[in-house]
Amino acid sequence: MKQEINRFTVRFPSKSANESFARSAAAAFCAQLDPTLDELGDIRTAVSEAVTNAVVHGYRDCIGTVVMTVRLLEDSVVEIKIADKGVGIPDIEAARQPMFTTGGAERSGMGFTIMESFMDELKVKSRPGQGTTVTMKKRLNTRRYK
Amino acid sequence: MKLTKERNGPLLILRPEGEIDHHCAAALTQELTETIDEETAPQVRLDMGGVPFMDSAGLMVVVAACRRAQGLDGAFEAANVMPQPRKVLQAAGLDRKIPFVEG
Repeated sequence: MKQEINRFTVRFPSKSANESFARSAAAAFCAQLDPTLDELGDIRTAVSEAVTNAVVHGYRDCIGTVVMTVRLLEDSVVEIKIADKGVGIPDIEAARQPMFTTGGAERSGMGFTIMESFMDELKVKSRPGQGTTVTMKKRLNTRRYK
Repeated sequence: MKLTKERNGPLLILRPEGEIDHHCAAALTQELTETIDEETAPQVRLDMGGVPFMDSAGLMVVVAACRRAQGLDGAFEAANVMPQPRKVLQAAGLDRKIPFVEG
């Protein structure tokens, strides 16, 4: 178990305008670990996907609360947890397959695939009717002084 | 999200500016496809030099523009794709379907 260095939690309504806020907030907090631009881009992308899933799928018929917790752990590891109390995912394995979507023609079904490929670790916990929690981890390559 | 267009003979250049996510994707898709329909250009270039970020919602924007241009028998290419959007397009394999150009 890695020791926690810092953390923040933010709660916001599942409005699509907050997708931008969430990824910017996560990236700004992670910036204290001095990540590369590429790593920050990966984090912003993964957060955007997870929050969009909560907005589009979790609370598809209503506005609910999304809770995002970002933890900075020892060895430059970032852990990001995004939770909703929406409809949940009946079949997590199917949902994680590339191109799978229940969101209609305007959704690519690539959200989980991108989270998996842009982060080092992705865990999805969900129960129908109770919500979904996505936990992602990424180890940053800390830059050293010359 | 702002979209500007430029017509240069057979070439229609479309320049979105800003971050593309689910919040703006539907409106941008509509504006892009309507402009492609109106212009009926033989060649459509989506200039992404003003898009520093996109998530998977941006994939569908690019795919919709590409399909609309090709549906009108036009060629489609993406130009000046910045590193983060390029990585998302590559993750979906679209870099093998759509020509990326610079300039």
